[in-house]
Amino acid sequence: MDDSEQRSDEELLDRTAVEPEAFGAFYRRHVANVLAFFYRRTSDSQLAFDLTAETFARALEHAGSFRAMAQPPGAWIYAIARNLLTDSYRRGRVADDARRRLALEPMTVTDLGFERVEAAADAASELGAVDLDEVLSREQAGAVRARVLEDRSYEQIAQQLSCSPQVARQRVSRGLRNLRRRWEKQP
Amino acid sequence: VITDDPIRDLERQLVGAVPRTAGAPRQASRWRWALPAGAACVAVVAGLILWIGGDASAPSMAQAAYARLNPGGGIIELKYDSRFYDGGRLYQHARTEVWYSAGHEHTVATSIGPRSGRDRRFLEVVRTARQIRSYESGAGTITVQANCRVPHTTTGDPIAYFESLYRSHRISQRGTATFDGRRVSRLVAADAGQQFVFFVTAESGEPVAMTVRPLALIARGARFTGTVVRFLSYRRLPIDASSRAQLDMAPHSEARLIELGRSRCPQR
Repeated sequence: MDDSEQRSDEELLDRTAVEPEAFGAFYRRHVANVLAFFYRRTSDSQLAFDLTAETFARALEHAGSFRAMAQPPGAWIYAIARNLLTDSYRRGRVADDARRRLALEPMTVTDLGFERVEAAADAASELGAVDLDEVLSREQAGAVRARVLEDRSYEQIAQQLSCSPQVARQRVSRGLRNLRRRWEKQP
Repeated sequence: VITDDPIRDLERQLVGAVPRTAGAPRQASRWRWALPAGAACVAVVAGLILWIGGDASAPSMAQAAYARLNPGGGIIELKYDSRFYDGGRLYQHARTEVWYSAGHEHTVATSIGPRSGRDRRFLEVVRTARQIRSYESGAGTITVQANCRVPHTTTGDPIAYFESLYRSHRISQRGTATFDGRRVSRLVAADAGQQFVFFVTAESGEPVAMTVRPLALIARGARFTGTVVRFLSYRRLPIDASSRAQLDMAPHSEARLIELGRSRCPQR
């Protein structure tokens, strides 16, 4: 494993322009969760993979301008995914603009390939890849994701979310409490 | 690109595309690639539209197929042909006619000798939600049981199998294919070590065929091992005396009741 696996998402996106493998590391870190996000909503591995490919193509296009944005990369990739999904439902098909601009080749996926896609999505789901953005407020989702999934300190989260460490701690705590309530309600 | 590992191949493509984005304004990038792509893009986009367009309605295609097989308040008549292969060799061939409503079913299965091609009826089952009867159907009977249908009985009951997978949200659409010269949508699931593919008409979700294959035996160039079920006819019957008679518990003439048991079958 190279050191890119240890770097933060921001660093990876920041280095993408000069170090293409950095985007590869960013992709590996998030692809299963994004696949699971789409698979839960479409129940179709081909559609889920297609949407995932376009999501990361869009992310790659905008990686250079990421620093100007005010949200963590985890939320950012989900924002792209959600917008793409909404857009796809509205248009009745999956957009491929970003892939075309990047001249990515269309892929014909074999059955074995789809088994892998489903396995990756299932694994992410089983690991509790709850769609935080769907069940929590944006602030709480960002804080919980950074703390629980990305294992960041409260100081880092505070810096990332432009708030004090105490507020970051409060958001994580409230977010986890909301998640717990939600799970307890489920049969 | 034909790929067995799309996740990794996508990563490779994305990483390879980084130089095409780095430091270049998006608008310039678009023109830079649009122009040399030229005529090739037309073909690629046309392919993508065909490839993706069919998938955009994927969830509804499975629903349409389910709605086709689910009788609701009516009666469905379905005839299908099942062929069982081992390493490419046909070892059993059967033809089935089934009439079913939500609570009643009448199935007549006929075995066809792989070599002789002769038909012989081997099983007749009539069931309601509370009762199931199986009849011996003449000389050369293969097997007659008074068991309830098991939803995951793949070869014996393709309809129940599809319904079971659909209800457990395990069916997904994977593009289109040509089956016996017809353009069809593929609805796929993996279950109990088997790959299940249900082919339905792309327009209406009407059943065309089904294949069930052990996952372990699927490999490029390998001879087919598994079952191919072709749906020969599909009709939603009008509710009248004639169609109701198809669901009567009365057996065909000469049939001998061999067992009468209590059924625990769920309603369709």
